[in-house]
Amino acid sequence: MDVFSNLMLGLATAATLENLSYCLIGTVLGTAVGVLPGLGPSTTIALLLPFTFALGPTPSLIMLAGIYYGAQYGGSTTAILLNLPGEPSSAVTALDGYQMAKQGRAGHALAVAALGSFFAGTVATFVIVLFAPVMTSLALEFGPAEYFSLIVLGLIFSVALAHGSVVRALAMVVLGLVLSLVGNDVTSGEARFTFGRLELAEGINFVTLSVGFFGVAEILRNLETEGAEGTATKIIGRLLPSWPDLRRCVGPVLRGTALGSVLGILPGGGALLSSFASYSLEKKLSKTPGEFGKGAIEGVAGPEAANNAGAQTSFIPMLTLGLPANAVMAMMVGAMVIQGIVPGPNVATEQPALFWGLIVSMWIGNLMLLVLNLPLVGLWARMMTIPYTWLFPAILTFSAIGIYSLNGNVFDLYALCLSGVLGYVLLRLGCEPAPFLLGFVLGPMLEEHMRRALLLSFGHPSVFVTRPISAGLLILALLALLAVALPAIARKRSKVFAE
Amino acid sequence: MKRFWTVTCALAFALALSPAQAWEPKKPIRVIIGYGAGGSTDAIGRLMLKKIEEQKGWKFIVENKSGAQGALAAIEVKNAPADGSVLGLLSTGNFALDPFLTKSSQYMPEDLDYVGTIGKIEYALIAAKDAPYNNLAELAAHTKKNGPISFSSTGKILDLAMERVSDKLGIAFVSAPTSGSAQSLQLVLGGHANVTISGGVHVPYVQSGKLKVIAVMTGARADYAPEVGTSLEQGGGFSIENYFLLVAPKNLPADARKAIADAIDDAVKSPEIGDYAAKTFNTRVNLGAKGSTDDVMAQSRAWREWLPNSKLAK
Repeated sequence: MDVFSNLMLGLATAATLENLSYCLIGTVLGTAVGVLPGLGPSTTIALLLPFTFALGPTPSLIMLAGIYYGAQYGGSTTAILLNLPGEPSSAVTALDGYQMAKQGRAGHALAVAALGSFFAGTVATFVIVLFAPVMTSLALEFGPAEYFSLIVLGLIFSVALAHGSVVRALAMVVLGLVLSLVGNDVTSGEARFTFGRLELAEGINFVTLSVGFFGVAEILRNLETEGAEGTATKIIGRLLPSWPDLRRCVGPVLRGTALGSVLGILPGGGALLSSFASYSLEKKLSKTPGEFGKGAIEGVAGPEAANNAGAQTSFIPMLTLGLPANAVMAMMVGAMVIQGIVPGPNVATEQPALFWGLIVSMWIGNLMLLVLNLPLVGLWARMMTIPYTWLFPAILTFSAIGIYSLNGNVFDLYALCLSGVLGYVLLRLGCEPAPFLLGFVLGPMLEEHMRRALLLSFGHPSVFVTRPISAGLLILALLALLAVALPAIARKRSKVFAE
Repeated sequence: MKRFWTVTCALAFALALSPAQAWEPKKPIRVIIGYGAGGSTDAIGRLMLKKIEEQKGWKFIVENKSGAQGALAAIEVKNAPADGSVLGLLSTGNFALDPFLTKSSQYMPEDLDYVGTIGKIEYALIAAKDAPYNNLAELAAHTKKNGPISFSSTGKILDLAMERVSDKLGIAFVSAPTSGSAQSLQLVLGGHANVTISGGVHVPYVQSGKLKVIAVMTGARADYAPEVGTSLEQGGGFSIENYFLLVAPKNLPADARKAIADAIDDAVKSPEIGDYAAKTFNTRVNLGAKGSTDDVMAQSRAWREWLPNSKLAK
């Protein structure tokens, strides 16, 4: 089996009318739910899973995949226009994208995000085609010690990229880690900090918390400005960026794509970690790091490319090993199981049409998204002209519906209100929600992998430094930490030298 | 008047013909699945419900409530009205073992009615292909010489099963819990853990030669590895009997209970469920209402007797 015949088989499968239509349905649906805060791809895929019974395996997987990467596009649209990341991985895009929108450059940000995503999606598709077998063995090298070190690296990154006080960012990470301790102890299964509530046994729900922090808290903050209807984001401005702008984006997009393609393969990190990592990389490489957080186009281009590449390559462990890299992939595994396909190394050999058809459909889907989204950006942007008196209740309603549909628990709605208020208070205190959320997401994994690594090494902590990949990641984390500390020193120094 | 009599006679005749008014649900039945959407329990459960919809014309509303390892779902079914409008789908271990593992369980196996099973989960103890042991005796000898092995565990019931077999044969092991069988498999495939007990998902890896079966952990040998003995045959003294189990609130009316149990039985017997179970390496089996009740009660008695001996259950 060579690459060319595989691709032809994939093309033949993906280009049938049925599969093309489901690809279109998936991507449009994905964009829509990506745009709507609080209704992410995980919820949508979960809601649609029952309906895939009636479809064949190939169209249903193509559609579900379309929802996932379509949501990455849609998520960045709201991140830029509303400062409401539809998806956690778009949280980084909001940092500079929203600032650009405020300056009347929303069109540029949207175009760069879409073009960057398309480029990254294309490259990532070829990465899957070429390296799926090779990367299978790489993913296997990752044991608990490596996961632990990778997560440490991710947390340090999140502190590094937070603008403002490093201490506050660290405090937010720690607060996230602390809140993530609520729920069943991973090793003994004993309930911790649940106050006897069974709803808390599985911990505080991440989606609830993130919708609270990004959706509800943002609305509360906007309510402060009296009579505010729409912000500066009403002006989308020119869609096509100027040549100098485009040239500024080439490097970030290339680096973001590379970073995302690699990080996406690693279970756990995926699109979220990719966008965070890309942002901090661009900030560090930039000649004008001060622009970041104030509307730097690189801060949109890099992370957008990275999260789309990461979203795409996170299919690799799922397709080749049956290992879900994130919650959405777990549901894709579920969709395969529903169809009677056991995800794993056998899929590529026993179901080549499905395997390659899905991969090629991702590229087709990315093309569809580009063609659909750029001209339609005006349509999404028209959301801006909706007065807040309409928009805010609508967002709150969708958030509440989304949250309630997760588990069917009223408790989650109270948790949503509470996290909204907490998020608002933190915003007023000048603390960023992003490091907090990353700490919260990675906390359980950090604990789980650390304890598992120690159990499997029969209690020797040296396992983290004697395994080469793990040691390398920890060294990187240490360097990143030093880099965080250095600019402060450098700034002081430059002041001294300036005098 | 003549007409009246004709109609009345016709009605009486029709009534006499209809078999003792079989119970029918008055509204769609809510089915609460104690595991996530897309998991193995969810998939086989939804397929069976679809089959009942075809065969009986009933309607179902499925809810996945996976919190607290199924406890939330169990409690919700326990507290629902006992009129056949609410069912639950979980597994035997949720009722026969889980309530005894926490101090403050809000349900006990006696608190529910059991109406049938869909299939049995085919567990096996597996290791990497190149592991220096091929059966339980060799595994015991290996740990006596080289110290404990690492066991990647996907659930408390598997931890306890491993402990029971190990106590009997003198295997030393350290248990590291994971959140799913896919994760456990990766640990064994990547050489990070030595062995794991897996329910079905390992079969493709065994067939492709990446993993091998040390012992089948259920009562009978497996088709995909017929040469490997069960843990009972190898002297392990314990096998796991875990079923996809359908439950209902306690004291369901007899007619509703019978109608539901019959509907389940007809669906489980359908070729679709048979094909599906075979494809996912589980065994299709319905113990029936009485059979599954007896099984849960027997298993819960057995666990209650064993638990004081267990070090892992503390």
